[in-house]
Amino acid sequence: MPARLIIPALALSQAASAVAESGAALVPAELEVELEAVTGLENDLSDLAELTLRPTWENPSEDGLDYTLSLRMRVAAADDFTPGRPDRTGYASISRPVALGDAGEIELRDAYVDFELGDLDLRLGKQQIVWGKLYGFKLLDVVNPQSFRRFILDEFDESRIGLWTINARAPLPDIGLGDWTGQVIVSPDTTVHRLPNPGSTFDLTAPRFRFGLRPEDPVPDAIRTERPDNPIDDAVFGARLAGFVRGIDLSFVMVSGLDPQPLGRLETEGDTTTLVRFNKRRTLFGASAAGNVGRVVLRFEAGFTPNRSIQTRLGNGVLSDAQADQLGIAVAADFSGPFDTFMSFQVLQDMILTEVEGNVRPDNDTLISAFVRRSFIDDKLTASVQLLAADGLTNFVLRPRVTYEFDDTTRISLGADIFSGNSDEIFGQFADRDQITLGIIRTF
Amino acid sequence: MNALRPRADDTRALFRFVVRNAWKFMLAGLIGVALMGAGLMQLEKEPSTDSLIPQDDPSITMRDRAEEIFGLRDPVIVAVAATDAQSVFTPDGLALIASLHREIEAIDVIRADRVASIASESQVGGSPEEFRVDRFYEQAPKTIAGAEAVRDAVNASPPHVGSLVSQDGRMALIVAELYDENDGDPAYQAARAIAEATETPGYDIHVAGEGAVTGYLSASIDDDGKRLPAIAGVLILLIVLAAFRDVKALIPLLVVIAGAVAGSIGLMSWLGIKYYVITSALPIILIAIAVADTIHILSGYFSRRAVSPETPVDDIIVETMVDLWRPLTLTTLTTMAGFLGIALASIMPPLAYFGWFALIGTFLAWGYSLLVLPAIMALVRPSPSPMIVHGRTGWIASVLTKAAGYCAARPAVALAGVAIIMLCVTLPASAVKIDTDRIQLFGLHEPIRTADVAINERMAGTSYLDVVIETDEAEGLLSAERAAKISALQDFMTGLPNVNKARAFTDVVSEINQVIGSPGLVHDGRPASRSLPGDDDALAQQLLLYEASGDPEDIADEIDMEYRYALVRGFMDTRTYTSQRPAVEALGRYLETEFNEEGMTGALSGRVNVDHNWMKRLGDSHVRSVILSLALVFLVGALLFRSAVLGVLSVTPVLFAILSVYALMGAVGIFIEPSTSMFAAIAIGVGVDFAVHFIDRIDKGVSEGLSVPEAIAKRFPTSARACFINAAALGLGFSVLMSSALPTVMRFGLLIAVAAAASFIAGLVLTCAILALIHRRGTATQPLVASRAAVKISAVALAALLLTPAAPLTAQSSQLSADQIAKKVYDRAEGDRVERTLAMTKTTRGGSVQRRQAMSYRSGGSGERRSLIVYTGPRSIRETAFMTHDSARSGGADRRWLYLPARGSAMRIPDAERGKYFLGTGFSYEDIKSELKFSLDDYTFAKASVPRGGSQSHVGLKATPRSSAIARELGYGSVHAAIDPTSWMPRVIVFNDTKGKLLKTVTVSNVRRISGIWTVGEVAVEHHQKGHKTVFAYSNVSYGNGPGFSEFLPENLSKAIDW
Repeated sequence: MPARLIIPALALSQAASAVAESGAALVPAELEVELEAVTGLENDLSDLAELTLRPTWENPSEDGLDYTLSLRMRVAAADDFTPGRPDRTGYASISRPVALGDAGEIELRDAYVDFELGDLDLRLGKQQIVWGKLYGFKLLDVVNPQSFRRFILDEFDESRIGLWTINARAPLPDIGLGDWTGQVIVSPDTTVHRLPNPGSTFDLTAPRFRFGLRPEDPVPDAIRTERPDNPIDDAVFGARLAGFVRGIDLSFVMVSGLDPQPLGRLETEGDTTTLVRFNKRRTLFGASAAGNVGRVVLRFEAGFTPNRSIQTRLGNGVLSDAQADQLGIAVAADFSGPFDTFMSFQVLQDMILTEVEGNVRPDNDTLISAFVRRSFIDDKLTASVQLLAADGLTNFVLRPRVTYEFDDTTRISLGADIFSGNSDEIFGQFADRDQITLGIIRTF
Repeated sequence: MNALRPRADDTRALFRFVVRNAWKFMLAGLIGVALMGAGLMQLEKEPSTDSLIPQDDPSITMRDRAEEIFGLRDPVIVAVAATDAQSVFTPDGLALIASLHREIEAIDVIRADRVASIASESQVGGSPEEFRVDRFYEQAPKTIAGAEAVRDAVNASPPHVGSLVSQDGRMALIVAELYDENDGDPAYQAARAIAEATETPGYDIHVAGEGAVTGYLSASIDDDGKRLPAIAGVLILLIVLAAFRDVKALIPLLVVIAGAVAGSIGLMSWLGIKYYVITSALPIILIAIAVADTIHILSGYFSRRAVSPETPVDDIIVETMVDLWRPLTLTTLTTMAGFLGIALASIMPPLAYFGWFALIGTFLAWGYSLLVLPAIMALVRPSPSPMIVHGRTGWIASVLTKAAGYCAARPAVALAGVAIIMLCVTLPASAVKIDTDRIQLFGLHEPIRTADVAINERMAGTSYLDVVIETDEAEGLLSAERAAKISALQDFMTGLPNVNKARAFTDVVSEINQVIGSPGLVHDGRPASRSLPGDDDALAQQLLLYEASGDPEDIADEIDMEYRYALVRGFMDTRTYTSQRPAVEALGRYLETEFNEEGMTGALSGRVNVDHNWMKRLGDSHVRSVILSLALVFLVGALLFRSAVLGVLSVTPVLFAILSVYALMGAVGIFIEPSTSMFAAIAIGVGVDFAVHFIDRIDKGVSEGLSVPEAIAKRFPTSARACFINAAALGLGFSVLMSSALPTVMRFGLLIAVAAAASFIAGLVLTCAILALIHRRGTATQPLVASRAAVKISAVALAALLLTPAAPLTAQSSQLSADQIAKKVYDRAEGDRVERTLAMTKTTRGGSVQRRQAMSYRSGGSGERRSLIVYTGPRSIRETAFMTHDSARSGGADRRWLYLPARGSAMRIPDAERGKYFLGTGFSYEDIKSELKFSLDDYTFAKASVPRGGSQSHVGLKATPRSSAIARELGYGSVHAAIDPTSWMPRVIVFNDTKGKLLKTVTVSNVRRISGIWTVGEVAVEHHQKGHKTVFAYSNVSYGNGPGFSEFLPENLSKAIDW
């Protein structure tokens, strides 16, 4: 049996036996139905009407063996949001969603079993692992790849792609330095980021996200993805120490595995130019801390990636990659603001420490986020505004949103995503895709 | 020094876009002004100085309660003082008093039934057989003998000596209460008009009193508010005109000013926030800030036009904006940080609003300066300024540049000079003290001030320190024992410093008792100073006798008609906070330790208590707001310049300026009082701009490869001149306040003007000298990471310093049984470890029902209580977990985490304010944390009647927050509970909000013992104001089970559903 199938097989067999023992029916324990309509403010590029079903089966059992299984079925009214068959080449075959024509798909979101072996908590199967403490940005939250189908507008819980993983965690012996937990993960799943189709609404057009290709460059005739497919060589290994020391949440992480962000190079054969996408390994070391100072929660996160392969575009237009040290530092503060508001501010500085010729991204990226939320009518109505900005506040997305909860099962939300900036910037590349979103979610 | 530096091409494109679409931007700007400014139409003024105090402050609540029960209002006092004549007890004097009394009564804002003088008051007389209550005089006597008879009668009536007539008989008062205290000024003006029209030889007539002082003060400040901003605005415009000699330059300037001022105050009005007395300073500040931004742009524009007159105007505008975009943004952010400090740290709501809207106005000034100003300049195309000619630096720029160059060339000398000055100013600065005297807010020769001094010299005093006595039932005061206790309280009060008299209903009772001859009572082994009846019936009969014989209204301000509440009024002859403090504090202690008893409590009230209570907190607030503003400015400076060193450098000049101003205050004896307390934070906000501009200019020169002296020579002149004009506009704008009739406003203007000048000079000297030193040593280009680390550490340290909650109040030792009950409740066993199933049901006002099921766990240890609620249903929130680590120590930090299964990890969430509602229920976080106990550190306790819903076997306990800050935190003004003495469990708790209105009622039921521990089965809270009800039903309670203390960790929340 190929190594990459071992974990899914183990997990599914365990889950199957648990389902059988619990006598659970095929009827899901929970079904969430979401209907979302999006309309562009400046043109029809963003227009979308989509139905999403999220059935979940789970069995919280008394005997220590729990299973969770959830699917996501998504069908759009028309195939004009991501024209053509969505690109799924980033997925490992075992994780790949099933296409429902060009405008729909079914994806296995979670499929895992939980059980204990002594002090050891084990979670086996397809799952999401979140190690970061930032909202809206990713610095240490890098175990799972992400779908950029709708850029970063989807909640991370929604856009994060689960990996087939062995996840083991155990409390560490008390040596008088607070309470510590150790965690080790191994994932042979070689899924990487899912990028939007060329020409789709949120196609990443800024050169820094297009491997350095500029708008004036000729469009490659074809795109090919070099799939990493060695579940041992390309596996993700991670370790985390999480502690609670003198009231401060601390963590130290190490993640080694395939860098989910692809690199690119151009290959020419005859008259055909092909853009080849490929991924290289990287190892990240990071630390995070969160604590209270008075009534303010301060969060801090730092990640260092030595010798990360980064995209370059040399003077002669050749796309290549080079190794550079990368350091990211983030500071955040959350607190109750005036007029009963909740406020959160984050600053992330992402730096390439090594001078690299032809580096297609800036050496320093400054990302700022501000979030303000207030509830009304006994918490039934929630209004919020989120600002994500980069490089000096001229390049941002502003996201006002209002959510009304009718009851425990139904909520409706209305929001907008306003982009600003230049076409070669993170948010500015979508400056003509301001949109209004109306969604209704009902849980059965 | 790589501060936020957007690519020049982008900004150039932006400003080119603005200039190309100048009409559109100007129109948008004007529409913005119109829309925001339309709010001014509905601007509501709040002229009262009392509005500075939080309206939920217990001292205000208690004062309002006293007003409600006894109909008390701060009075206007008219004094008749004998000059040539020896006494007011002459036929003319008594006729004058009677005539003035009638005229004062006729003033429409005065309550005719609440005007008191010897012409209206009565004496108790007669004999046991023939008891009488007679007016001192109905008609003014015509003869000397008749007048002397009145004098004898008044002198025999102790309640009125000192309060209505002086002991020496040379002054008499007419004390008139107002319908509405906001009418203090019209009442004062009307009384003054009457006094001036009634000239009687041998007598002076003075008008003063708390009502007059408050009203006149409010009116004067209001008048200043209307007059001074306009004068300051015109003055500032003249300065700008003089600086550039181009009228066209004023047009964009006026639009920016309108955007900032009308925008900010208009928005304030749209949001329903009133225009308070201190808001008058806001327009001046915003004008100065708007002008500062504009001056820099105009200076840059005119300089460029002078250098290249052939260049198209649009290009000049664009290049000017590209050059100045960044420093203007930096100064805007640092200024906003300074105002944020005021907004966050102020205890005075109007000052907090001031901070928020100054911040918004600063932002608007920035927006208009960058987007509207260039558009208007492109349209009006200001001609070259004759004041700025190419090749001629101008004497201001020349002198400043030379001075800066000197500092850069000899940094050690410059810094040594600054250090010496700082050392010199430290000593007087340390002499600054927090104090206030409301009468000194007026000029030395203001009639109201001379009147107040004259009255306080002869009478018992015009400042009232009141005690409101409350019993738990009607006729609770018809007790001889309690009357004796009140008499002892009066004696205690008159023994306090500056308290010359204490008046209560017992004085009238004593007079009656002397007439009808009941024996006196001995209190605590000491003979009572008043002749009070010996038994309850006699007391009741005597009061009944007074009611039947005289006018019960005469003592309505001392005891209510149900004989449940009484007022003891202390007359103080000082208005100074530091002089009043010993008496207020001693009286507070006396009430708590000697007076309060089961069924009867006394609470401080009156104007003196109001002023004392919040002045006490003003000092802390002042220090906090200064430190917070400095810290925020530092933080913003450090982040923007990405250098902790430059962050410090941004803030040092204002620190120097503030020290200088403190030195000035200490040297000339200006107190830190409500108005002057604002100066420092405002000075930080606007003063930091100079340093930021200087740093930015030098930085720009250095980044072009110049040395610091070269950078100064090349980059400084325009900027230094603009900063000088800015400082001059700021200083002169605020110096207009010195034309106010009120010394306090004058002082405020002086302080800001001095701060502006000091910030400018210190900014120039320190930035040039320190940057020269840094670059000489090569440390300016420290790696970004190191700088950021320094910023982080500094931010954490400062935030820790600033945001740590105020130290807990120390529980005062008390032997009162109410405290013992509270202690019993507090010490009730709750088990170290417990596991419970929890069903939560919330019924909304509309009748819809929301149900939640959860497991609840709690464990205690290491001075902490850890609790966890894990939702088990409904499905949409299943597995969501909420964990708290609550410090058992009062004031200790609490920590909270929320685990959302979709996210898969625990998030640390801010410590909610204690009074906020827990996850949408009717319980506050504090309710949940306290587990039906009352924090001994938060409340003072008194025994009380059992609230409705309790039973006969329960004990009534009333808890009152120890301070207004605690009351605000908790959201409760008082808590009234029925305690079951068997289990020491509250069974009914009635909560009132900070305004004294019924808030919610908690009912505890199904209480039983499990494992020897009294355990609640169900807790219901009915929120009367929101109209919803929440029920927490506990089942499967098991002590000793559930996760252990060390398992309550954020890492474990993902598996908490399985516990």
